[in-house]
Amino acid sequence: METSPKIRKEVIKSCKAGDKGAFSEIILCYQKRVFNIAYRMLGNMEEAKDLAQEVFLSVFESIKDLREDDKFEPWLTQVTLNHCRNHWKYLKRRQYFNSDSLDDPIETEDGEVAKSVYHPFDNPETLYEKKMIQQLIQKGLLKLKEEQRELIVLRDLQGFSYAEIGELFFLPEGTIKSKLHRARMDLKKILEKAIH
Amino acid sequence: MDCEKARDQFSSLFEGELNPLEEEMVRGHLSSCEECKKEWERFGQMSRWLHSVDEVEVPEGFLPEIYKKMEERKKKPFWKVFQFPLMKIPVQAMAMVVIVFLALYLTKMMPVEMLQKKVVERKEVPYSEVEKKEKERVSKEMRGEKAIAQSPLETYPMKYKAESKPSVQDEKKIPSHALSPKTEVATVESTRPKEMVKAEPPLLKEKKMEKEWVEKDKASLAARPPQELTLKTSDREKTLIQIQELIKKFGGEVLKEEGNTLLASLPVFTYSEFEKGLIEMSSFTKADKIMSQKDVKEGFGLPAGARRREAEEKVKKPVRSTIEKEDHMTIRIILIQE
Repeated sequence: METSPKIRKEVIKSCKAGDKGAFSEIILCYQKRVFNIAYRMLGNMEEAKDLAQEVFLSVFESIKDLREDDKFEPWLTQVTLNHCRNHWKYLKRRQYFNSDSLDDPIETEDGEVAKSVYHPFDNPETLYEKKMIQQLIQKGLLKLKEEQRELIVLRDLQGFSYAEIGELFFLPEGTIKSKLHRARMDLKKILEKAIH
Repeated sequence: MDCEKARDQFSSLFEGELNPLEEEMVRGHLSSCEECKKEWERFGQMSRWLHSVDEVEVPEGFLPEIYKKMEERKKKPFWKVFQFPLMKIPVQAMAMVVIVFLALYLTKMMPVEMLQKKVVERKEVPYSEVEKKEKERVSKEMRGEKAIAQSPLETYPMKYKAESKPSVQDEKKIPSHALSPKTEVATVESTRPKEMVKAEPPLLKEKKMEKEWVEKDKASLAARPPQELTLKTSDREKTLIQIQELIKKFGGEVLKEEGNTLLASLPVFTYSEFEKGLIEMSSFTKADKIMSQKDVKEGFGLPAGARRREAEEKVKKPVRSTIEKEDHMTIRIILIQE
């Protein structure tokens, strides 16, 4: 969990003027964050890559409309979330997630392992590899409601502050906290249900 | 503190956001409630996993691919330039546009349809007027002929006198090119009415001509003015019945019967046979309308009524041609008492 460094205002201004060098700098600075949000929201590397690239293309096309350069980061996150929401709907329409169940075997580099054999809550360190846990969480995230997934991804995986999340969702911090708690409890239930 | 309230504080407890008093209360409950303690342990475990999830590395070639996509978008086919904005237009907006156009189309259609109806009505009115006029004209003609027919003995001698004036020598004086075969027959008929009925050669000639005429211009016959036949008879009533029967026999019908004049419609192709039948039935003289006109011009002295009728017919000729049936012709038979 790490946060990308803030980009300089000059770079944003240059990008607004159509400078491709500045645009490249922005991409390099924020690509990991955008790609990870996309990946956690969609659960697929290829889809996430395409979506992240689309996000940056949209940024280059519409950065001139950004009034306050200081708000670039929340604006970028908002653009990313919007793209994720649209793409999620697109994939849902095509029943992309229908066959994706937590009961399905988890794919690992060594092959498929039936997770029902293991009980991660009892002794996760010895039974599971870190990768497998991460994949289990990823699948659990995809079972959550979209807003809950966004909150967990932004707060627990990307390390956004409550204030930043509140700004993105246009909600007070207290509401974000309670919503996030509900999302975590639901994820816990999903994981427990999947394991037992 | 109950279990529900304690569990609601799990997130805050995990993130260390509770004040010492709140934390103490929650922890106190957890130490006393085994179920909540288990829940808390599971919650903490899951939260640790969440925080331990590593960030995924960006695939290689991420940046060059973006530039490649940018280039592809610049080179996109011209139809996509039009397609893109269309795709962005919401469905509701598109539907509205369609509805507006449909409404405009329907509202504009209505006056056009009304106009078309009016035009049809206008067309119908003149037609009925024409029909009325035609009927009036026919009745007028019939009345005029009735006047002639009512006094055949008075009018005929006059006509006879006028017709009998020129001698055979005078006939020769008339240039041959000015006379059609029909006029020749007419003049001969007028000079010797009784003999002509029996004399077959001129009649056959005329009949042949008629046949040719019928065969060549069956279609144009319908548009022609009515054939006029003058029939001399001693018994008017008997002849009239016989003519009516003859008309029916040849598939025709009597349009009007007034005094000594009979107006009938007859199929064009049966005319020659009908004519033959008339010859067999009685002695008669045939006079085409055109022949009568020539007679007038040449000074044979048609009655004034006939001239008037001729003038009227000239005017109303096109009207009649439209009303007459294509395969029927109109025949006017005038009975003259011997």
